[in-house]
Amino acid sequence: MMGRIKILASDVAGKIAAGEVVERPASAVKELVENSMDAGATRILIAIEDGGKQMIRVEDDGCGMSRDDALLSFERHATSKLRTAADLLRVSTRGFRGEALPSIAEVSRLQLWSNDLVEECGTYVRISGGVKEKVEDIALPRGTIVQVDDLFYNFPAREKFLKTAGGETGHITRTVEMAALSSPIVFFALRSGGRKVLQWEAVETPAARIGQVLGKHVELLEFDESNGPFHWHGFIAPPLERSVEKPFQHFFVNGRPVKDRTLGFALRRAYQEYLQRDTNPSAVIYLEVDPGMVDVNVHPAKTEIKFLESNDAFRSLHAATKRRLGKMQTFVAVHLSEPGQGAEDPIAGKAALPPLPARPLHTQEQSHCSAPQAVPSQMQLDAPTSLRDSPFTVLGQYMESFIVVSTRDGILVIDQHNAHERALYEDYCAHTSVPSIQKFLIPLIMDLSDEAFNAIMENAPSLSTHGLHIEAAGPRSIAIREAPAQLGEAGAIAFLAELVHSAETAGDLRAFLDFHLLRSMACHSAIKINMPLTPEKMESIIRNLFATSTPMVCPHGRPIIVKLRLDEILRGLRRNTQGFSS
Amino acid sequence: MEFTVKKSELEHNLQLMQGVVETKITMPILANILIQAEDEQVRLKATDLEVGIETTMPCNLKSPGSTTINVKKLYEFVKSLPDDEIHFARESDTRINITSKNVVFKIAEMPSVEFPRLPDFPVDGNLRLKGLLFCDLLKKISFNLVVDDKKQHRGSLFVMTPDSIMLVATDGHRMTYIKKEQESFDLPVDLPEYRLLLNRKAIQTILRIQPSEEIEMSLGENHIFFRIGSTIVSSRLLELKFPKYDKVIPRGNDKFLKIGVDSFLISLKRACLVTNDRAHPAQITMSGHQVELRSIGAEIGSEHREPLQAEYDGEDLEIRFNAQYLIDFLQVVGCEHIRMELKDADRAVLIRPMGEMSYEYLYVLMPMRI
Repeated sequence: MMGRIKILASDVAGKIAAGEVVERPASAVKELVENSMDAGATRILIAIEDGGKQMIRVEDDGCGMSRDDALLSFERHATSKLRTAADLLRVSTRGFRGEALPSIAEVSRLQLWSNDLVEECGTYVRISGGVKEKVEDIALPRGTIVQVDDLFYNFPAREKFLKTAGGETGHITRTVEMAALSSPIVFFALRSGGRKVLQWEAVETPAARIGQVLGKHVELLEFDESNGPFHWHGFIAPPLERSVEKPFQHFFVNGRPVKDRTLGFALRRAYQEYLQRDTNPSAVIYLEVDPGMVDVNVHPAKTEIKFLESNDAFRSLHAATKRRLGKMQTFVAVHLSEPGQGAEDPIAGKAALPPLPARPLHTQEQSHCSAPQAVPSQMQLDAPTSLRDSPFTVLGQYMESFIVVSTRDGILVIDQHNAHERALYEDYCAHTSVPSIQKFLIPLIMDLSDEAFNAIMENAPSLSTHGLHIEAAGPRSIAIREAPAQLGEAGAIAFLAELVHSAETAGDLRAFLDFHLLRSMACHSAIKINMPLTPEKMESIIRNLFATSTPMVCPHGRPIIVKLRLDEILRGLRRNTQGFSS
Repeated sequence: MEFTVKKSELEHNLQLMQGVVETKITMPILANILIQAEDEQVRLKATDLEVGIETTMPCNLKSPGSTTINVKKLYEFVKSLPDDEIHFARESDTRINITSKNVVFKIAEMPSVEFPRLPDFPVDGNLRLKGLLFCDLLKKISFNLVVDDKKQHRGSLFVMTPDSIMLVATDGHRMTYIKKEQESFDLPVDLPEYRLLLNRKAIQTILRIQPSEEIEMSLGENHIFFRIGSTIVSSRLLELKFPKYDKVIPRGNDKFLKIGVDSFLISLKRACLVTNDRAHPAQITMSGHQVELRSIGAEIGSEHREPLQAEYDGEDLEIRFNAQYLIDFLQVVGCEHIRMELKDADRAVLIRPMGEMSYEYLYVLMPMRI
């Protein structure tokens, strides 16, 4: 009698395994390109036909393979990158599972040419649906070429789920972008149907590669910092940047593009003082870390990782990002006119427009922002010299709400509430004390959605130790029984809303609560708008503001200062710059 | 329109009006007061559409008419004038001339037809309350009203039966309850039971008016009215949502602290000097018969401590309160000693005045966490 359970035929098992690794043409491209990079290639050429469904060809100048290696590489779990199970704990190459080639070969017609220049001639292998059809010697320079035809020809179940050629090409393009970002020193080219899709020369720095790949429309802030076992090299978008581009976040751990919630969350937290809710900061982050600290073997596609100490990683990136943001100065600048469009001037006409200064008018903090800009309003970033030391004069108060200040290179209009709030906030941060906790006589009951309820109750024990005591008061309602006195009822609700919204539990809850507490205290204690101030008070507010780490953004992420630059004033008034240089 | 009024009287009335007008104006006409001159009288009206106030004052009338003027500007101007007669006259279709001696103030008006109509004081069913007594009750709960108008119970629960008048107010951390038996009010025996939410602003407006011997109260369809002297305060009725106040009054607290109001008040104010500006944690330690008050400041090292003259009966206990919450109560309690009934450091304390009182007055306060 036959049992019901049978061992799967090897071709079925192979297809199941292949399905995990090769989900779509882009995953085949990813595996092949990773092999090329692991082989030390400096040039990788990718060609596809019909979105990779008809043909994928990856050509590199890497170390190549000997005949034996070339044949062995099609055996499942054959790899040059791992020897023992212990190696799995310290994977430093991109591939390691030994699954890629056999998996792809299983579901396509594959040809491989390779030469390691050690043996006299190279090797050619042809393999169809996992069956070797031809092996022969060929002449070839050093490197490897893999050509995959008719992907999924014997796997119609998967073929049906593929997108149009355009959609698949998009996936492949993004895959190549990620590979290119992870290795700036490699030349990449992608052609589709004989047409050039992208081509990036080898460059020396990640910054240059980011410029090639993501375009130069954003000026990113760079940081390079080691703390503990982590070495970060990050490029982050300045806050307040009003970009129409979709925000991007790319993380590379030891050169491998990964998706990781912890890292994304650390970034968001670092930005929380700068961005309004619901916005994600754009960033490209490279992490070099002892391979023993991360587990890359979470999923066959290898895009997910696990940190051994996920909280350490969170704190480390959070701190590095915050430090970088703290060094930045941003403010909203007003542009009077759009330079180069002199026709707006009805009297003088184009010709009357004075020539723009050839070099920046002032040796001011931002050299790059003196260039003509066609955008009506733009953020100015990254001042090497801080406002802290710059002399200023308070000119007065406008609308009993805004303090007008003259500095060497322009006029600042400063929101008095936001300015005072920022200074108080930093002061409170420097002198944190244990919050006093007030119990409620009549608990605040809130009815919630399932999702919000679960998110809050999950955090309830830890919140309770920090003074926000929450109990379940029904299947989907909570009762707030104690709250930090300074937070108040409204503050507690706002905090919970944000906690639910971020729906993240990683990271330092205490710091998150403190941030809310201090922000709420600062907001309540700060002077309001529509409030007349004496010159002495204004001067004191400005002095305190300039002494803060981030005088340009209030803790709620709103800008504090609008700047009218001297060169803009001069240009608007059609005056030349003589006698005004500082 | 042309008339003359006394400065001091007008100033006082404008001050009252200003309290009703919203600080954040959504409809421009609501920043104005309506001025109607007829029958040797000037009638002033202001409203934020929830609470309305109207008052009359005698005048020397030359010609009747009406106008609306920005109350803030008018008040500031009148306040700055010397104590004398003030003359109002319409100069043109859009401007009012206000003169006092030879000071001239011309101010733009908005047409009085745009001013919202205030509900009329009902003719029937009016109830006469003893003014001073009623205002005393309001004052004793008014410190505990929720300032945040977004809250559901933005006012005080007001219950009136043939037997008694009761007011309850709470802000979530504490609750004030006061109940006065009917003898002192001489309420009619056939009185229907009133049970409603009294708007915070209405309470505060009534308390600002010079209390008169008698307050006339009336309930309309959507409004409750109070007539105090020549002033009428009307308030739109709010949806009656109020926490179950009787559930939070603690029963069976077994530790008792008797303390003098004046000295406790001074000690608490001293304690507040070292605490920060929003929460004022003050700790009371009762051990044996010794009672000590201590507060710790936000700045490191700042601290205050002093013994309290008090009688304590119960096991040793250490409990922490927001000192400001105690001060609020002690300032209005109006007696020499209070009695605090305690259970433990986590549960509500019940405070009541000691001695012969003509009403039941309770203050329930939640401690802070130690």
